[in-house]
Amino acid sequence: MPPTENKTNLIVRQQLPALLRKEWIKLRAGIWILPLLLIYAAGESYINLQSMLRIYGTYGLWEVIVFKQPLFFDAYRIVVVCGIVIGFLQILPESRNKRLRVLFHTPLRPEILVSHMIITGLLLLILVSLVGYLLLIAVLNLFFFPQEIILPVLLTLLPWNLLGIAAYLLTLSFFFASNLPTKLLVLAVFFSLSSLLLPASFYGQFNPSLWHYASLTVSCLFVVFFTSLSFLHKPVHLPLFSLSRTATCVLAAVILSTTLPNLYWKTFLPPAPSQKMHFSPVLQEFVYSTSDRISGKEPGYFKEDNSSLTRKEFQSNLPFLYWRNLEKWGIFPTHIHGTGITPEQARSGWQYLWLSSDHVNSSPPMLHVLFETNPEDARLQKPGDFFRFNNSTERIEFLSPLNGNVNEKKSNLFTRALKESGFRFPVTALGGNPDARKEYDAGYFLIDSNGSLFRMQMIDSMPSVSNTGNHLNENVIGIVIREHHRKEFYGFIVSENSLYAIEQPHSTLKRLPLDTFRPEAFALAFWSDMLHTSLVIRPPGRELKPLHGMALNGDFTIKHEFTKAPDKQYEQAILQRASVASFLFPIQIEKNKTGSSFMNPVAVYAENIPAAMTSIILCLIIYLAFRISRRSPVLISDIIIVSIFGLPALATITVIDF
Amino acid sequence: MKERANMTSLIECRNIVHDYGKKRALNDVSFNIEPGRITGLFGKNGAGKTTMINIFMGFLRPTSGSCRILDEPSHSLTPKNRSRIGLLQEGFIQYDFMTPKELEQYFSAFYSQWNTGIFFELIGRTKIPEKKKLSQLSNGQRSQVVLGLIMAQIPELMILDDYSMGIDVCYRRLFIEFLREYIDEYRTTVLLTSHIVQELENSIDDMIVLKDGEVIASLPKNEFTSSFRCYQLNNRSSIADTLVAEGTVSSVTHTKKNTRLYGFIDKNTLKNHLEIKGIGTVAIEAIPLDFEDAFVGLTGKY
Repeated sequence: MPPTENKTNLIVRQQLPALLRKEWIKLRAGIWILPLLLIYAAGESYINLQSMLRIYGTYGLWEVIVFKQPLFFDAYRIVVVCGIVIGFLQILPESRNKRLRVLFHTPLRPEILVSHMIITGLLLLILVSLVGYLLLIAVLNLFFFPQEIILPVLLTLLPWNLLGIAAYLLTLSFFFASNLPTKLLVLAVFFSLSSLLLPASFYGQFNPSLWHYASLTVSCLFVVFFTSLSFLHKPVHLPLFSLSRTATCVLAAVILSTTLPNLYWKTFLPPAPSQKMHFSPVLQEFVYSTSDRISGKEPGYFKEDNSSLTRKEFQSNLPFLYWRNLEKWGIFPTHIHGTGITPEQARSGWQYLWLSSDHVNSSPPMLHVLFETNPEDARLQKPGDFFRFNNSTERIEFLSPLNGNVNEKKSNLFTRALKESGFRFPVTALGGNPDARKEYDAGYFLIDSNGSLFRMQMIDSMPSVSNTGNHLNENVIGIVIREHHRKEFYGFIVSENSLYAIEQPHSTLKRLPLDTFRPEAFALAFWSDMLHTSLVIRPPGRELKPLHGMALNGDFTIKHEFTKAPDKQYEQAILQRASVASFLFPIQIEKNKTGSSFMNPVAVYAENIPAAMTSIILCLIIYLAFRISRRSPVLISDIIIVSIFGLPALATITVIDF
Repeated sequence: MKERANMTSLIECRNIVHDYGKKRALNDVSFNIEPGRITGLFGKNGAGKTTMINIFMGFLRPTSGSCRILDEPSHSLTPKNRSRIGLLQEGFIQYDFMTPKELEQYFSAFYSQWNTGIFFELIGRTKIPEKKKLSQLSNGQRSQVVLGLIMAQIPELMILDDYSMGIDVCYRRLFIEFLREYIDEYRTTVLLTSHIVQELENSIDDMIVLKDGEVIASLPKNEFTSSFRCYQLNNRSSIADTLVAEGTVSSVTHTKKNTRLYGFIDKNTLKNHLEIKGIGTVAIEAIPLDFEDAFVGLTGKY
């Protein structure tokens, strides 16, 4: 091979190490900050746990972690700062005082120059994140937490790690950007992503949407390429430039279509009148109240025919709810439709439960608590251990928070009892009430792999497992148990099509008469007293939907129904604002589905289609006029993006083509 | 002496127009840079010199017109052609977080003809510490390091934007001497800009002068010095005050006692011009010009 060709190959092999060496020279100036930040995060997490241990004790610490899911590790948001620091260290020396010209005059393709920088920074950030994870695992192991707690905690960190990567990439983009509007757009994307990814209410809140946010994070790579290649003044001959530009437009349009509608509704959502509806055992019909919480005016009280009632009349028709006032006023009824009743019976003779999809569409408990059903004391005592189901080994395991160990004897005892009762692993659903303040313990209700409903209790330290005889042929989404002193119902089972009440004492399932039940979006008030049972259904959502009341017979057939239409004024106000929202944001990406606490973005098209279409047509006209006036080519990708996202897309394209 | 392949112009600019918003920075600029020549690109502050260089290097795309560097469009220079161009950016911009040694190691990986000896010879002449960061060196030392990096590349084309900025006369003289030796050996084509035009009189072969974004002169330096003249009209008069730059008269200056005219114009042609203007009988004195005086006369004082 001629000497010059050998030398050429050698130079190619030398360029990568040279680029890496330059990155190291830049990073070494401040890389020492990163371990300090990690130590701070791990240290603060440890201190928080220690503090909770001192306050709540060993069992209480686990109890708080399992059922309250506090973000004792929120210092790990510092990984976002790590991303910014790494970005600064790499890009600041390259971009100050026009030094980007030195970078882009280097005889390598500009995409390769930028890619090397990104790969180095990302690898370092991933290493930092991994070390952060290891430190947190070490901290959690100090408190003997099992994997059922450790894994959800680690998963909660993932969105922050994604944001850290986005912060790194957007820091590079900010300094690569050569004009102020693009820098502002980059900042807007960063702050929007932060508002989406930083908040967390419970562990694993982002689990269903991690892939979505990971895609957005990866898209930030294109922002780096777009801003850096724009330095060479829009090199449209580079395919990566065109792709990056399009991806940047889409990313910004998606982000803006998420945060701006959210901001709009937070700002302009009209105050909803408070409406409450109850079945009156006196009138044998529903009565309702509406109040304006903003003006503070006296609420209005009405019957089904919209005739108004005074406050006293309203309350006297609801003796179970307002027994105290009626007794004070001396108008408490002695009989209601032939049934004698006393204030004492009214006081203790009703049960109210608010049930919604939030109860089942949220993070399930990581561990469970099985009380001694027949305690020695008058009140229930905390058992001192937690249990879990190990479906791979087909066991129930009781864990001690003192050392994290499994109590083999107790675990084997209960496992044998389950199997001998006919229970078939794996558990597909379970529900119990871990609140020690309840008056008695109903135990846990379990669905096995055959769909059979079992009940498990601990009585005098021994397992008591029984097949209730109920079999469900549909998927069970969740089981909600609420022990009430009336001892009428244990709780409710939510399946994919139905809602069942579990009646005491034989665990009989009674199906609620809900024709179009959707477990992913429901909300109802369940009322039961010595005279009647009723439901008031209000589907969740921004709009004020009709209140639908159902009074039920003993067998849960419908005795009486009434639908209260939404407040006309409020409905009108919502429609107006929705029309404006439709014009501004043809697509609105909501952070979570209605009725779910999980972050699971869903794209919703405009409610007012004509408004949305008008907006899109106007945006397209403005786009075309803008491009023609600047003698710039009209891009099909831009047309498509504007046709989908409307104004946010037009704003983005205007900024990046500034 | 290094032989260069026969080439057409290394830089070809045709009808370059560039606007910054509504402000026109370059207006219909056309010129060529021929191989093996040293060309000075001159002009007052804001004339458009740095804008031209940014267009050459692909950091700016002209509003209209074309610019080709080493037979490629300037806005899409390939890495191969970039490796043939040594670029000094105004202010000796370099990675000041690196030491001279680190800079040499870094850049040597990208240029197939890298000559380490040239770099260390240049910085050795001024005893620059190899392990101090560039940011910790003086302006003069920094300039030697940056120029050394460019020369070590053995580029075919060297573009030096204001090589004299911020460095004293000793460093400037050192650089010019080194540059002359270097060009004699490697036959590099050089395009340089500077505000200190006097020092370049004996170094450049060709010159291009920009004024308000337009080329007002593009010719060999010898031809400029031999054909650009200054004439003084003794006894300032009100009619002489009406004389303005037009045609072959590049500029007119007035003092209390006389009026001076500069241009590519001989005495007889000037006399005819003055007669047309109604100043037929005034005495005309030829004023000798050095290179700097001629440049000021061509571009006019502020």
